[in-house]
Formats: sequence, C-alpha cells, structure tokens
Amino acid sequence: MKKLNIVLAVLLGVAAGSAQANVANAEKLVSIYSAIAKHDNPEYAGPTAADGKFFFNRKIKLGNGKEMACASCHTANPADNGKHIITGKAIRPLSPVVNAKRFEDFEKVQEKFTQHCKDIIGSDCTAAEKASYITYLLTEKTPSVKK
Amino acid sequence: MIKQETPMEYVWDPFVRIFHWSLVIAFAVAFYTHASEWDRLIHVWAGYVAGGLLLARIVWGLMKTGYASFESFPPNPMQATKHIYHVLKGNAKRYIGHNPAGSLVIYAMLVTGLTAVGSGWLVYNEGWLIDQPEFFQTLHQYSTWGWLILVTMHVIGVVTESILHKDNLIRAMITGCKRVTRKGERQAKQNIA
Repeated sequence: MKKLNIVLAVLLGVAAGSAQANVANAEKLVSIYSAIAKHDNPEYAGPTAADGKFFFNRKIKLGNGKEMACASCHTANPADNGKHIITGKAIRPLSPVVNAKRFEDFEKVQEKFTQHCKDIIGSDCTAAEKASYITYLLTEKTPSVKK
Repeated sequence: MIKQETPMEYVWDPFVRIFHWSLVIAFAVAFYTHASEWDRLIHVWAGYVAGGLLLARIVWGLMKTGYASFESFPPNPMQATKHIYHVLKGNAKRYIGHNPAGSLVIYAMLVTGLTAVGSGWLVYNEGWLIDQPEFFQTLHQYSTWGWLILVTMHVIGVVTESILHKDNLIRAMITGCKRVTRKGERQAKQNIA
C-alpha cells in the first residue's frame, strides 16, 4: 500500500510538473532577459510586475495617429482571450499560467516579441522590458468572470 | 538594318499566362505582408487568391488544354534526371512545353503551394476542427520556405533554358509565343520518352 502511495505521488508530481512546464519556461526566460539587461546596464535593478503591467497597458502613438497598447488586442487582463483588432479573430490568453501552450518554444517567443514590438513601437523591445513583461504575465492567473 | 522576323508558334494559352503572373503577384504580396499584424488581412487574402489560382490551374491541367494539360508533361523523375544530365553536357533536347525537369518542379510547386495555403488557412482559423495551432504554424513556415526554394529553382531553370536554347521564356509567358524549332535542332514535342 505504501509502495502504491509513492508511485501515485510520483505520477502526480510528473503530471503537475508537465502542467507547469510553461510557467517554468517563462521564469527561465525572465532570468535570461534579466541577465542580458544586467549585462547591458550594470545598474539594472531587475524585473518587476509593475513595470510589466505599465508597459502592457501603455498607449503608444503610432504614425497614423492611432494609440495602441499590448492590451488593445490582448485586453487589460492577459489571462483572458484577446481579440485581434484588425481581423477580429480570437487570441488565446497570453498568461502561461492559464494557457499551457504559451512559452513552450523559446524561438517562437523571441520571434513574436520582435515582430510585435516592431509593429507597435517600431523597433525591438529591450531585454529589461521583456523581463518585466513576462514577470507581469506570470502574475495574471485568473480570467475575468464572463458577463 | 532589316530585322529578320523569327517565326513563332503559340504555346501558352491566356489562362496559363494570367494564372502565372497573378500567382507571382499573390505570392509576392503574401510574402511581403507575412510578418506584420497590421497587414494580416492582406496576407490572408493574398493567400486565398493564390490557393484559388492553384486549384483553377489543376482543373485546367486535367482538361484537354494542349501544352497546359498535365498529359503533356507527366511527372517522370528518370527523364528529368536524364534531361539535367544533358543540360550539364550542353546537348539537351528542346521542349516546346515544360521539359521533364521543369515539370517535376511544377508539380512540387502545386503541392507545396496548396500545403502552404491550406496550413495558412488553418493557422488563421485556429485549426478549424483540429486544435493543433503550433503544428500548422510550423507546417505553414516550412511549406512557404519550401515553395520559395522551388520558385528559385524554377527561375534558375527558366534562365538556363533561355540561354541554352536562345529563347526568351519570360517573354513567352507574356505573349504566349515561342520561336519555332530550327531545322536540324533536336526537339521533343512532349516530354514523354
């Protein structure tokens, strides 16, 4: 009986581990981006969720006069489904806590970061911005209650 | 100076020519707009146009349409290898329609093109019934880059053949006409051995 309990505990552990792999990946990315930011600027104090949240909701004025933020497509809560403002298509939640598929593939994350930063800001975001951004996403764990 | 008119013969019908250049434009537009979210709708529509053109070309190829018909350029890897060998030796036969090596690239482009459009459609529509967005994204990337490689091969082939047989194949795809085969020149009407 004791043996069975150990086996069950191990199995549960593996299951829990795989479900959290995306979160672990996201945390790993935070430390990678932080290290790059620290390398670029020795004064760098480290990522904060508050910085990330500000960045996420910050409205940036575009060349055509429109104002855009990450939240324009992804909504103010990254744990919710978003909506593409051009195509109207649904976007799955950004938060790796809610969406297990997020942060699975480092290469894809980097590619999307660069593409989307170019789309809105006009150039790639800094490592410090990326570190805070992911730190913030990790804090958003609960989807808004659907009306 | 009196320019001697080269006798021409009609090879590519209007459908093939309009299809060809429309596909070039659709592919170029889709490629240019692939990265930015602002251009997502243009990218998607260019892709749908390309897909429609490919399907129409396949229907056209199944009909009795002369040089455009699939019957006139069956896929034949053996003949294709032989043709490449003769091109390298510099004594390749002249084909009025597609040569055997070019034919293989044409078929590969049709299949890869449809894969690129189909996977793109599934990426855009969240996999439709198959919930595998990552898989379709990867398939879409590989098939489009594969398609681009095939287009490059196609262009290299066109330029090589134009030089080798002193013929302007790009103009032929605009006017539909190619020069007639000279006396004593080795030619093949169809690429069936």
